[in-house]
Amino acid sequence: MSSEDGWWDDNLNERSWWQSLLRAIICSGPVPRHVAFVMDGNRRYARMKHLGSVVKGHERGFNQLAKILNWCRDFNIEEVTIYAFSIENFKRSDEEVDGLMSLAEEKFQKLLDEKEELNEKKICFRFYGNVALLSEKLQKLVRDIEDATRDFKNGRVNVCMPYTSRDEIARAFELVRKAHEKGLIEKEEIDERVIEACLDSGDGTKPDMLVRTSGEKRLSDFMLWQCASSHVYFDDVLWPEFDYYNLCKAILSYQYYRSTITNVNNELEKGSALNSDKNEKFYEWVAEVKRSREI
Amino acid sequence: MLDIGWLCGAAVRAVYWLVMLACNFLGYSPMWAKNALKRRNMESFRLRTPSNLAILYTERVVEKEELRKLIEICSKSGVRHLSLYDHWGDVQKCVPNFVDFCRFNGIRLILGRTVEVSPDFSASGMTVQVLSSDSGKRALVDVCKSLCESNVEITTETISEKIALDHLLVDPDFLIQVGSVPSLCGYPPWNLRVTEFMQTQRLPTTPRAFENCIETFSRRDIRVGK
Repeated sequence: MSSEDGWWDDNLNERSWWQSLLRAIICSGPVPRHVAFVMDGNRRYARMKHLGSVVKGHERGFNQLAKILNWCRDFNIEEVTIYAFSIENFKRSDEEVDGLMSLAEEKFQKLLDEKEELNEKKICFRFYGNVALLSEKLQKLVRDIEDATRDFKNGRVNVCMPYTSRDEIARAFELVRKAHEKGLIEKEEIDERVIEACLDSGDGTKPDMLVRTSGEKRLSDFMLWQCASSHVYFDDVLWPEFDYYNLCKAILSYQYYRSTITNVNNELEKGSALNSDKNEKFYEWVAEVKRSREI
Repeated sequence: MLDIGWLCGAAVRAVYWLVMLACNFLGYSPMWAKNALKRRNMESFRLRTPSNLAILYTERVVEKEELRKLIEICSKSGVRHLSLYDHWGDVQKCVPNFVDFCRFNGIRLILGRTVEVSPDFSASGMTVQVLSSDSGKRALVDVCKSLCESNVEITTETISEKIALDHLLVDPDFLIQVGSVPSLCGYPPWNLRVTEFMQTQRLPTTPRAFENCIETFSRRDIRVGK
């Protein structure tokens, strides 16, 4: 039923003996629960391989993403966040933006069409970002996917599109301002937990590790708040070439630094003043506003 | 009969020994050859000093004297704003060691959001800001508290303005992570939007180490979405 360019090609999971061995060794240690990926290098890959169009590079990038999502499930990584399209990417050529949007429409439609696999895998899909900037058709697909997968508990994939972290934080602040205006929250009650609840990632977890490919060493306005003290891993390989071996290397790096970074997180949390009383009315209102935006 | 291979080996060793002797005599470092090659490469390449440079300690390796040397080298290299961050507060403890240096050299010194030394800094035009964990997410919480009292919609621009005005935070062009831990350790997140990162084991306090960092920054391809 599943095809090579779909989301759930189980043939992708065929592993050689060394991959199974590596997986067994790695899974005997702590594995990140949540990994965020900046999928960089599709355009350079297209140019390097003379594919003719950068959109072809993005297609290869998507095929690689499907593989990586399968591998992540193999490693029991519960949540994966992907930076699919930045608000800044609208500055690119019309040809590339249109090509990317068509690719997204095709893949999201395919995800909905593959109902049998979707129901079998039970992966929840969420979309982060300013969805209002997308076409009507894409907005509908996004809503349909979120509705169809809302109650799935076997894992979670967060697609950031069109997203920038500053935009996400600004929208969260605006939500707090509106709640304050309505008298749902006092100024003194605002703390890190309040802001986190208002972010797009409010009902998810913070990434334990952020992986960026293609050798670029910057965050490019991605999950600035959520990854403020996460493990940040840079790999020189281009996204379509980010293979099983590269994923293993990233997880091994996470295992090596895990205790040090956990200590840093604990030290930072010690200093953050959180209000002991949880304003239930405010959190219910935030959840309701978010739901009404989705439906 | 003479062994040709042995003769060649001896000749190479002799030439190497003579070159090393000449280098030592002239006061060159044995690394001279490497550096000469690098210089030749750099002739066609323009170094770009980051206007706003940030140092993030990921390990507790803060040394007083090194910080003073770094400030000195930055002021000579054209850095306008140097942010120093560690979440333990070790840099803050070293401030007495470089406060006089800043005063005498016309460098403005800010501790968190408080201006400690404010000379007529036209001499250097440089600011050194010491950041702590208070400047991270907590600064953003403060900004949110201030802005939520307004009846104007909050945008990215209003947050940037407020965080610059109230907390004097700037967006670094380049962030050097000192230590081996691959984490941002709570560095003010809002300001890292398009900052370039580099990891190094030691603070670059010698001209050569600093130039290596600047070269790394200069070679980065900054596209901002394009």
